Amino acid sequence: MENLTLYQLLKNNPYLKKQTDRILIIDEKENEYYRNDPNKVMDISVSFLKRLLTDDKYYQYVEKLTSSYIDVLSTRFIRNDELTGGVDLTRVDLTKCLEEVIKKDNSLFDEQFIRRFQDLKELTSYDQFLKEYKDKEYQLEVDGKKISIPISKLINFISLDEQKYEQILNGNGLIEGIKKEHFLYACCSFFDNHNIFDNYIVPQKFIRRFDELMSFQKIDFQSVNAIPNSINPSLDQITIDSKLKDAILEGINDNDSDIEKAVYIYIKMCKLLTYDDEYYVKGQISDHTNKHSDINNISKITLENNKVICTEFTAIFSMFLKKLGLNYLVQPEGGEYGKGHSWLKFVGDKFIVNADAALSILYGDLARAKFNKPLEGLKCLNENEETRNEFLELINSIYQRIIEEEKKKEDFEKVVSRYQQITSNLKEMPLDERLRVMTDKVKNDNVRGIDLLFDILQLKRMFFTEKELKNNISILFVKDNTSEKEPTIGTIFVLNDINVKINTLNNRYYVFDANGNITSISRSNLQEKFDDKTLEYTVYNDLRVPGITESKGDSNVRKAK
Amino acid sequence: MLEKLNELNDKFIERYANNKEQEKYLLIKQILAEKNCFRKINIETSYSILRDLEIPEEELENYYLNLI
Repeated sequence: MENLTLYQLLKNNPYLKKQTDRILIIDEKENEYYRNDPNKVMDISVSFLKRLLTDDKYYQYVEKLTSSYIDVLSTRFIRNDELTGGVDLTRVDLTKCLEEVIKKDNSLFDEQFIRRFQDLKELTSYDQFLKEYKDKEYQLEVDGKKISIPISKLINFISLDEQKYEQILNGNGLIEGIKKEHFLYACCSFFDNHNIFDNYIVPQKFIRRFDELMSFQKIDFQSVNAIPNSINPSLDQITIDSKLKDAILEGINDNDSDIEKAVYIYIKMCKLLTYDDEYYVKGQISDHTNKHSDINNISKITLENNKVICTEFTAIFSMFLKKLGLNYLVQPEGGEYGKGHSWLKFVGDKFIVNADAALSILYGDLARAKFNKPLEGLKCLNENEETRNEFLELINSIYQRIIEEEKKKEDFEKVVSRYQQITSNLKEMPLDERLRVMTDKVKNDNVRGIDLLFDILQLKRMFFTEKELKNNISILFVKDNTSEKEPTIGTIFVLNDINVKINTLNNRYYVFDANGNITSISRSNLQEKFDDKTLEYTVYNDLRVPGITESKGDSNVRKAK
Repeated sequence: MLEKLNELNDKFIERYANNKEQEKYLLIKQILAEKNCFRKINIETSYSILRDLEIPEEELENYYLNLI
């Protein structure tokens, strides 16, 4: 009858077939008996506990537990075809409960019971733990580095007398030749990952110290291995506008720590970017706003076109974090790019930080930073209060520095502007004259090759306004095959007081060679040089010299990736 | 060289005490106090400052190239 009931039960509830590692009590009377048993230890029926060692059917589960086939001995009662109640016992729980049973119940236990209990006790003993582990090594990866520690060293450490233990905890530097935080992490993870406290009765000191260490209040090593690496292939290839990047990094202090730089960048990004109002208003359903689902839109974000949504902010910030060598994790994990809210967590030094610039669209950091209001989206997640306070101080210090820099810059710009208003010595310099002075400077700097190109790119903004660089001057670096030995880099400057691309007939051309000599050249002569390949475009040239036609079948010309 | 410009400018500030011209030289003083100031202003403004400090026209470029 019982078998039929069981058969019927399994037919009605196929999921029960998967409960092979649990004791399922289906007999209602048995259920009641255990529930109402007046003799209990740790709220578990004594009769049930005894049965675990006396009934072979139940004892096989104890054997599964002691052989580590299962981590807990789990029981459930079935009432009205549903799993209810029951207990979950670790090896240690079971041993302690049975010890209590023996103490409490003076009735005679048979030999089999005693033997089985002794076996269990021995397998759960501290001596067994030492026998099992003390000669082994614990191998793990910590913050990207593989380490191997003799377990005996972990045991010795956690067993130390109170004074020595405190001395080592409060000391600087290393424990057993390993960075203190990494050692503590290894120690705790060993006990945790191997379920030591569930499987062995160890000195209470171990558990107390483990709990204390894992609260991170004494030593904060919570950030160790919190984010072991940043794997996000979709974000690996993003690029951002160079002027935007320069503006974000302007004023960053090279002597700052990486975490300070990360905070600096976050704040600058909040100041320079803004949440896309059209996205907000139209609720993400327009052609305009669909662009935000395309990761390639990031490269189009500039100081002028600075509207972003959370996903883009997160992607750009992650790019900077990667360059700083700080691990991050985009949230929510597994989220699709451009869909739903996105932010990230990162680790730097001992801090685990949540960075959510659009925590609220209207009240988030993207808006708050513009008014120098306290940030809400940049939060330290460490449980240690001192660490959190330290992080707050760090934010405040960086924030204050940025505010002062802004003020100084504003003040400086006002001063220059006022000076320009009142002086009578401000005279307009023709483009060509400025170009000549600039190239004199480059020649005087005595740089060659790529360094020369860099010099020109750095100087151009001092000599020409943004508007002029867009409309009145073109600068291109080309391959100069003039020398018989090997090609060099040549620079072509094109000037036009109206517009280099539209008013090409009035373009003025200059060639600046690798020796720092600038020569004026007519359009026809320059065209000849391209036609006979004295000058050629490089693979990096996306643009062409305005007013100069490209010869057909120029196989050397390929678009740079 | 920047030191020399500051010295020159201080003389002009003294010279134009109680004169509206002094404002210009006080502004120049603030500009010169900014780190890498000549890299932060355009060439025309830089030349203007040098003219105000009575650097001869033919020497402006030489001064400027040294300052940047």
